[in-house]
Amino acid sequence: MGLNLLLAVIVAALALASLMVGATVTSPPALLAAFSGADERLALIVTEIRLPRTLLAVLIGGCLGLAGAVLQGLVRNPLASPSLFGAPSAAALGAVIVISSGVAGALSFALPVAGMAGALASVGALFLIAGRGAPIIVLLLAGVVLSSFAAAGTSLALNLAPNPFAALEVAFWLLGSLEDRSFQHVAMTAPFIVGGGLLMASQAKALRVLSLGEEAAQSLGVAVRRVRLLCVIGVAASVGASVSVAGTIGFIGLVAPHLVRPLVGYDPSRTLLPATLAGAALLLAADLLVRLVPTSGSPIKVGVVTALIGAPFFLALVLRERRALAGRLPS
Amino acid sequence: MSVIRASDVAVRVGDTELFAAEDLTLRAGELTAIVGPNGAGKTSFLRALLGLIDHTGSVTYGAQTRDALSLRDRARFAAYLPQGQSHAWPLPVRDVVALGRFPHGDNAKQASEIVEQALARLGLSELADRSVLSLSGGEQMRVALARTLVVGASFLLVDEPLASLDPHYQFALLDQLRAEADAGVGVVMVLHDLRLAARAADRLLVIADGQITADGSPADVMTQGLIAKVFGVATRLEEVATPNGMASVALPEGSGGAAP
Repeated sequence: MGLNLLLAVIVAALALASLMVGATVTSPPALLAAFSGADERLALIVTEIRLPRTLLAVLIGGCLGLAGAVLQGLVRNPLASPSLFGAPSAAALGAVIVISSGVAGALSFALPVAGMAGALASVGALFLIAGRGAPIIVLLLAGVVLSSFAAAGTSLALNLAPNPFAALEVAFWLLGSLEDRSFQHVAMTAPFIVGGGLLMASQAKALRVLSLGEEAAQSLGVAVRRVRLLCVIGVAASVGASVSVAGTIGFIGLVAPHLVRPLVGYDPSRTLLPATLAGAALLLAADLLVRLVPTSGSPIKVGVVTALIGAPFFLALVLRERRALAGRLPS
Repeated sequence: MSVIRASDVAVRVGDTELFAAEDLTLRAGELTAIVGPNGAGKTSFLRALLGLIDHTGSVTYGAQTRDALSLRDRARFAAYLPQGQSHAWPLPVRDVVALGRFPHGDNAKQASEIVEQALARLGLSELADRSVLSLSGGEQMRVALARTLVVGASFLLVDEPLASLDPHYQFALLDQLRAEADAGVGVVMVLHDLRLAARAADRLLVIADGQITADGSPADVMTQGLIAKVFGVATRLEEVATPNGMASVALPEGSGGAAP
């Protein structure tokens, strides 16, 4: 419990910092003044611009961390994550199709729904392709194929977009960013992110038993197929909705569970909450970083930062796990 | 008395029949050993009894159809130790064993006494705080058996538990399972070592080509003709202490004969 408390304090501190940092840096007393009504202009900036951004960072970072922990528990492998399963790319494809075809505006509920449909298709397809007890290498390769396919689909949609400016906007959005998001964005995604998160969290005990393997877990009364289905739906709902407002933000789902797992004794069920908090903290920190780094042109996208940090992390992980990857992993 | 009964059970994958049995009753308080060549359908049989794979026919647990029971009720009736147990995470031994209490839904405190007893019985108390992945193959098998025992099921179905063990632990584990059977649990065990099977089993099922080709006490079943034919080996008769006293059984002596 101490760990969760510590992580919650870190998340709260970073969230506070996120409220203080924008085009200008607001001091804590000024922030207090803004909230007490003394400075209405600042209050407007904080509540309308910085607060939604902060809330989205917490929601999206948290659900990515949770989704990573759940997928790693489900396939019993530390290399699993939403990105490697092609979920964000497929969600992006769903959202891009909706935006570029002009079916719905960027603030419509159709967007998260399309994102979720894309994520569901990719994660669902992955489990169908890989089948029961497939070695992780098959899952990873299938994930690569699905990601590439989704990326190609996205390129095609951009390619065929009627309006080149719209295409450019979508391309930027794909990089992953929390800039200039409003409460409308929070409102249209929070239900899916929270709902998906609760669905995933409800499978915690089953994930613990699954550490024995699917057959042993099933013989102990775990409805393995149902658990898998609910986790896939939970991941798709939360990741799909996240991507539809923030674009693709990679590697948080991979990194967050890793940071906390040794601290909770590797129990998949006890990894879920701290991985959620760590994911929220990581995205808040990355989003603060992009605001603090001065650039001459447009600000760095937070998705770029998480990928720049996450990719080497993943490589290190692969090198550590290479012996296990060489052989067939426990199924 | 508790029984598992299989009626017209058949397991098929595509057009291939992996296993079929017309009528078979397994009883509590008995240790039933299942022997047969590789790929004969032994594991498919266990999985079918547990409902872990699709099969035709019906399986009853006690007086009830298995499929009418909830997954947890099934788990409390028949515990399973699959072949080649593998652990995904370096969990402490005690936590792994406690997973066996999942079908009961009891909390850690209620489970702890049962878990500590099982750890002690299998000589694992000193390893209880170690990571399960740091243990030897033999130690991991004992952990797996402890995890299966804490379920407290009427039946234990174990698939090749002796495969990775040295002779000392083979005998120790066999004695443990024998003790379970003597305490009224139905033990169903797949194994390859015919001598160990004769030593521990009340009843021997020989499975070859997806069929039960012999069923009876080790003394009755392990004839030179049958063992030679089923396993494709040369045999010799030997006096072995079986649970029902000394008996003369056929044991493999060389790879003579055609491969099964």
